Amino acid sequence: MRNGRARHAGDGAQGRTRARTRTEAGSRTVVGAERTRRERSAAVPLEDVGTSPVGTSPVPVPAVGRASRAAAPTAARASRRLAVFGALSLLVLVVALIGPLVSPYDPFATDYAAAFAPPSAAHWFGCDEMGRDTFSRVLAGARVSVLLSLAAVALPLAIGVVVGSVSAQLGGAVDAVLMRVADMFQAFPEIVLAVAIVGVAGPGLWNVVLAIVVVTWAKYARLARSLVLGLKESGFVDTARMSGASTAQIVFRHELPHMVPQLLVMAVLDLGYVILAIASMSFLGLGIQQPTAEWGAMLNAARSYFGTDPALMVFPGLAIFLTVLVVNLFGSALAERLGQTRADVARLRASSEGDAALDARERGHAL
Amino acid sequence: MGRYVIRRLLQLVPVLIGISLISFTLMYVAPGDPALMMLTSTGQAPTPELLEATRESMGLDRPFLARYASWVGGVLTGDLGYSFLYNAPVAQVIAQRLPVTLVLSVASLVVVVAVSVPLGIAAALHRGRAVDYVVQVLSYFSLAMPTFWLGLILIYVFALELRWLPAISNSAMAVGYVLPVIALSASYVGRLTGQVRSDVVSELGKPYITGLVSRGVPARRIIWRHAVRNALLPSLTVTGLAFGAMLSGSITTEMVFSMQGLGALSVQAVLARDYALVQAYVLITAVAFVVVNLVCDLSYHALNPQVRLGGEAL
Repeated sequence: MRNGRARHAGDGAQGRTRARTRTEAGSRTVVGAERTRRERSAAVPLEDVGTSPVGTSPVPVPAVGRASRAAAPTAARASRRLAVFGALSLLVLVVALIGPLVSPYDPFATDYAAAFAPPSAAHWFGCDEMGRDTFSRVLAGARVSVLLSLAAVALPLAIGVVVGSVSAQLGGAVDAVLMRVADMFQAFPEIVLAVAIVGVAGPGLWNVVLAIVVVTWAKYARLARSLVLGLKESGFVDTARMSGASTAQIVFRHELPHMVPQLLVMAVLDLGYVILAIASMSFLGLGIQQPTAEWGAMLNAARSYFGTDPALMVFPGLAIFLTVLVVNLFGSALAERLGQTRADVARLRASSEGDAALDARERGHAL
Repeated sequence: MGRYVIRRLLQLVPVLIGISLISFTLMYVAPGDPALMMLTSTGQAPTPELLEATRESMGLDRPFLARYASWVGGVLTGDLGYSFLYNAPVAQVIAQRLPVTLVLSVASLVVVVAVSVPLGIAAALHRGRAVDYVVQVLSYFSLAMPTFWLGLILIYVFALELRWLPAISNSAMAVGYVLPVIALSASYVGRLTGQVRSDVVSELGKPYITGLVSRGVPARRIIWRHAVRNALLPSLTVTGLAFGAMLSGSITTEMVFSMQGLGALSVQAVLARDYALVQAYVLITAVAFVVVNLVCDLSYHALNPQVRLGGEAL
């Protein structure tokens, strides 16, 4: 069964995109349902962006069927979407980095005369129960939420890539043991285990990151493993090996660069989820504690004044919602630009969620 | 099919051992002295001799594996330890709270499926049109919405302003579950809708659909009898994952709506450092998650004609 999967993955992106292009074109002529440009952009072959593990040719491989003619304008459209949401994501990052420097008030300065002040020219988002400026606190919260979330995605990504590559490269008993360990960690509903870890380690900023690392590394390991297994069977790795490249050289120079697009898409799509998870834990009082300005913790504090001043809940909640929305849209645009359809992304997710989901998915699609 | 069931059941063994090991290790590495907590909770003055004796009677001086083995033995016989926070056996506390979480999670799961499947199919059949666009916008909104924020908004609008529904849901009345179920299911609707949509879209692109069209089978029949039916089969396994998301989400939902379920219990236990309770909660939800996933996979296999008629489960 594992071999079967490896073989499937081993078809490489070229085989898959070709097959997809064909079916995309087919469904158009047959069912006659209109396809939007966006839909067709799914058919943009990976080769076009030079990320195919198999297609070493610098010349874009022509796609099959009518979809190829649509490829150029939709690629431009995908690029435009990517540019827009990329810019918005960058804006969020810039706000996170320099926001506290330009904020009108000290996010910790209390002014009881201004407690529960409604939004005004002086206090754009109003003031909280201690008269702290909500706008300044939302800005300060951006730094905590965004930077912590980036760390909570980057760390498990790094661990997962190392474990997954080692597992696929060595195979045999090492692979079996590492993947069984990954199974164990994936057997828990994510937030449930995270809450328990914070329970043992104690509430706090970095313990939340630790909990998320423990909970999510396994899915990156699984993804990296299946990518390496696919790459291992492709011709260029054999060529590199025959020309005397060491294992380390093969992994770092030849395999890793080809894994970047998929890993990147998965990481960005995960970022929104992690932002929500960190905010949830802080809201529960398990993560970042008052008086640190963090969106989830601010909502937790605002909850006490629910009856008297519900407006306190508006801006921190909106900040979480909009940030996650922008990051998710950026992730989908990135996936689209890199030639992955929604189905691919779903497959990616399934492959990281464990054997059962993946097997079922592949067999389902193979019907 | 029979061989597949046996293989899946055998695969379950290492996973269950892993779950129990991780749950036990959490407790093992937790700071604090369980003997001291035990004495404090029973109101005894912890003299060094008494502490030593309690430690010995609780088996805290034994090595890791011995303690793990006796803990597993206890779990298998229904002994999950003693909760200092509630001064009652953990099993009893959990049994009390279980129904609320079970009703909340299962009801939300039903809502997720009932909303996502029609929306996903509608979007897939109307690709690129207004319906598709609206569904996609909704699903992005749902993915980005923090469950607890949505819960607070719902309470504000429907309980405080409109006074249609109760804000606090620890009553046994069914209406108390309406808002929590909406809040909890909303977060997952987006994901399953996207999944169903892309499954149906990719199913419609398959060669056998071409074959059916060229044979003159009516479009309605192709869509409902063939494409949608085949496309939805893999979604069954995703439903198992959705159950895990419901269990996770029930923590914040129960806290927002002041429900006395397992999720709220776990937060109270974590804040009070009642490790036995935390450990039992993690163990029980993980086992439930694994079992639901197994049931989904098995029913997928039972429903899949390729497997059912072929007899061989790959």
